[in-house]
Amino acid sequence: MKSTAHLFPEQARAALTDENLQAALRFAKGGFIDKRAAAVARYPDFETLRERGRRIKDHTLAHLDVYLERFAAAVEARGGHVHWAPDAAAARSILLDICRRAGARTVIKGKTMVGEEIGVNAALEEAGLEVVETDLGEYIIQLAKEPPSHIIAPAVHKTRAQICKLFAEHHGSPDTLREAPELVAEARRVLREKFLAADVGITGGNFLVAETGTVVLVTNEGNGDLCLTLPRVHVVLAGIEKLVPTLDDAATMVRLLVRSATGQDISTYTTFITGARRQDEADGPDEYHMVLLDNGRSRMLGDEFREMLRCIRCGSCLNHCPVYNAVGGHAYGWVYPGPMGSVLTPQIIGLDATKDLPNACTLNGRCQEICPVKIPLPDLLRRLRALQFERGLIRGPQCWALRLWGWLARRPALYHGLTALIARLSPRGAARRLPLDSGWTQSRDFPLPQRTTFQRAWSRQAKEERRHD
Amino acid sequence: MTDARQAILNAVRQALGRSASVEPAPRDYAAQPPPRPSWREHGPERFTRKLERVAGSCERLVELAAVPAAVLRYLEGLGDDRRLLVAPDPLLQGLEWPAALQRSTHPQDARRYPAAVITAALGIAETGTVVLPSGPHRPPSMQLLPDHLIVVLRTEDVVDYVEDVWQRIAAGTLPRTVTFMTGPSRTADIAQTLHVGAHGPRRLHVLLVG
Ligand code: SF4
Repeated sequence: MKSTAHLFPEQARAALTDENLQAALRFAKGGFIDKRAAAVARYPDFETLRERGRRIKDHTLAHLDVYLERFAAAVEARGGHVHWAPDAAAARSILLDICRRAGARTVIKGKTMVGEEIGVNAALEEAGLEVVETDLGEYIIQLAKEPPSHIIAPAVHKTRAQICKLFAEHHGSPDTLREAPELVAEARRVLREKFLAADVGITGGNFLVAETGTVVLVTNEGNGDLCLTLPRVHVVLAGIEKLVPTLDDAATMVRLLVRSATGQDISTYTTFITGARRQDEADGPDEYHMVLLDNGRSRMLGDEFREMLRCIRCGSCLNHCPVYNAVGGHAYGWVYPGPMGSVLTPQIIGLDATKDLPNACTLNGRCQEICPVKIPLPDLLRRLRALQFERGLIRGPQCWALRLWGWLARRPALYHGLTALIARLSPRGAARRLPLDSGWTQSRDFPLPQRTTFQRAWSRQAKEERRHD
Repeated sequence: MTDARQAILNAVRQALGRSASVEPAPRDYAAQPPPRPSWREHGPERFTRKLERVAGSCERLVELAAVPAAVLRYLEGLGDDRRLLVAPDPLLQGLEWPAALQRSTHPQDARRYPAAVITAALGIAETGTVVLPSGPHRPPSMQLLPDHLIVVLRTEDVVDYVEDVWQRIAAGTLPRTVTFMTGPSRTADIAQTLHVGAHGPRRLHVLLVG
C-alpha cells in the first residue's frame, strides 16, 4: 500500500469535518472501550496476565532465531512449505509464484494486516487474479476501494447507510436503508459463492507456536476457517515477531488478545493449524504454505524499538487514543494507525516520510496503561521525536525554540528566574492567539501562566504540609 | 529461498548480538500457572452457561441413544427439511437414526444440506467451547458450511481450561486443524453492532450427553 503518511496534517484536518466519519467514530468509540473494560473487570487478575504476556513475548524475542528455526522445522516436518521474505517485494513475489504454480484464478482472503503491509491485493490483481476479501469489514472496504481504518475493525469508519449504498451498487440489491441482519445475510450469500469457487485461500496468523509448528488464527465470522478449508491451496502470511514458544503460551496470549480487542472471553473460532492435510482427511487443501515476513522487524529487534515487536495487534491503543478517535485511521496514511501505527510506520517506511506521526500524540499515556503486552508507546513516540531532532528532520522556528528551551532547561537558576518573571508579567486567563503557535490556538485557547511557577507552588505546599504534620 | 532464510536468521542473530543460535533459557514465567478464572459449579454447568452467553444453545441428554431423537426434534423445530449430514464418526454411525431423516456422510453435501451433526473431542468449561480436531471422523467443511451445527459432547470430555486440551491432544498427535468453536458465527463489522450468522453456522446447538 502506498503511504500518504506525509500528508497527516491535511488528512487530519479533512477528517475533522467529515460528518460521516465523525458519526461512525462517535458510534464505535464507547463500545470498544466499555466492552474491554467489562471483560477485564471480570478477569481475576488481568494485571498478572499482562505481565505474563509481556514476559512471554520478551523471552521469545530474545531467542527469536531459535524459535523461528524450530517453528519452520516443525511446519516442514508436517508437510508444509516455509518461505522466508526479507521485505514486502519478496513476499509479493513468493505469493505470486504460489498462485501461478497452482494455476489459480481466484484468491480468497481472511483479514491479514501483514497482507495490507505488503500490498498483496494490488500485486495479485495486477497479475490478473481475482482477489476477494471475506472478512465482512475487509469486504466492505474492498468494495469502497479504501484501505482499512482500524486494525481489527477495518470498516469502522463506515455508517450503515454507506454500506447499504455500496451493497446496492455492487450486488444490485435495493437502494434503501436496510437493517444490518439483512446486510449480513446478503454478504454471506454473495461470499459463499466466492468461497466455493476459489483456488487459493490466504490468511494471517495471530500466533505461531514454535514447539509444534502451529499457526493460531483468531476470528469471529468463520471466514478464516473457510479460507483454509475449501480452496486447493492455503497460504499463511505472518510477521516473524508472531512466535511464541508453546501451545500453553498461546493460550495466555489469546486470553489477552480477545479481551483487549473485543472484550470477548474467547473468539468464536480459535483455530490451530499444524501442517498440511493428512492422508486420511476427507477435506482441506492439497498444498500448505507459510510465508514469514521480516520487513524491518529484525532491525527493530536490534535497536531501541524492540519492545514494539511485542505488539499482538489488538487495536486497543487505537480505541483509547484521543487523536485516533478524533481523526480516524485513514488520516495516518498507511496500514497501521493510532499509537501503534505511529511507532511502527516510521520503522517500516522511514522517518522522513512520516514525520508528523510521532507528534500526533498528546502523551496522555492511556495506550500504555491498557496495552495487553505493556508496550511503553508514549516513550517510544518520544524516542522517535528525539530521533527526528537528531537527524535534523525538525527545522525552522520549532527547531530553534527547542534548542533555546534545551539550553535554558540545563541552567536551572536562570530557568527559574526567567519563568517566574514571565509568570508575573503575563496577563491572566487564556490566550486566543499566540505568536508563533497558531497551530495550537486555531482550535482551542491557550491557558496563560498563573501568578507563580509550578516549582514555587510545589515548595510552598510542601512547607505547609510539613507545618501541619 | 534458502538464501532468504539465512539472511533473515542472520539479521535476527545480529540484532541479538550473536553469530550462532544458543539454546533458549528456560521459560522462567512458566513456573507459575497463568491467572485464570475460577468457578464453583460443575464443569458441564459452567460450559452450558458460557455457551448460552454467546448465543449458543445446549440440551442435556442422559445417554447417547437419545441423540437421534433430539436431532429430529431440533430439525422439526426448523421446518420440513429433513436432510441431515452425519459426520462419518463411528460413534454417530452406530446410533439408530429415524427413517424420517435423509442422511448423508459426504463432505460434498455440506454445500447443500441445512444441518450437520458432528462430535466434539472435548469441551472447555472456562469458555463454553467445543474442541473440533480435523480428521476422517470430522471433516471441517461439515462444521463450517451448514446453517445449523449440532455437536454431540460427552460430559466426561469437558475439561476445565484451554491448557487442559493439550494434555488430552498430545503435541505429537496434532491433526491438521483443531478448531475451538464458541457459539454461532458472528460479526460486528456493520456499525459495530453484533449479528450472528456471518460465514459459519448461524446456530450452534450442543447435545451434552451423560
Ligand atoms: S500496541 Fe499494544 S494496545 Fe496497541 S495494538 Fe499493539 S498490543 Fe494492542
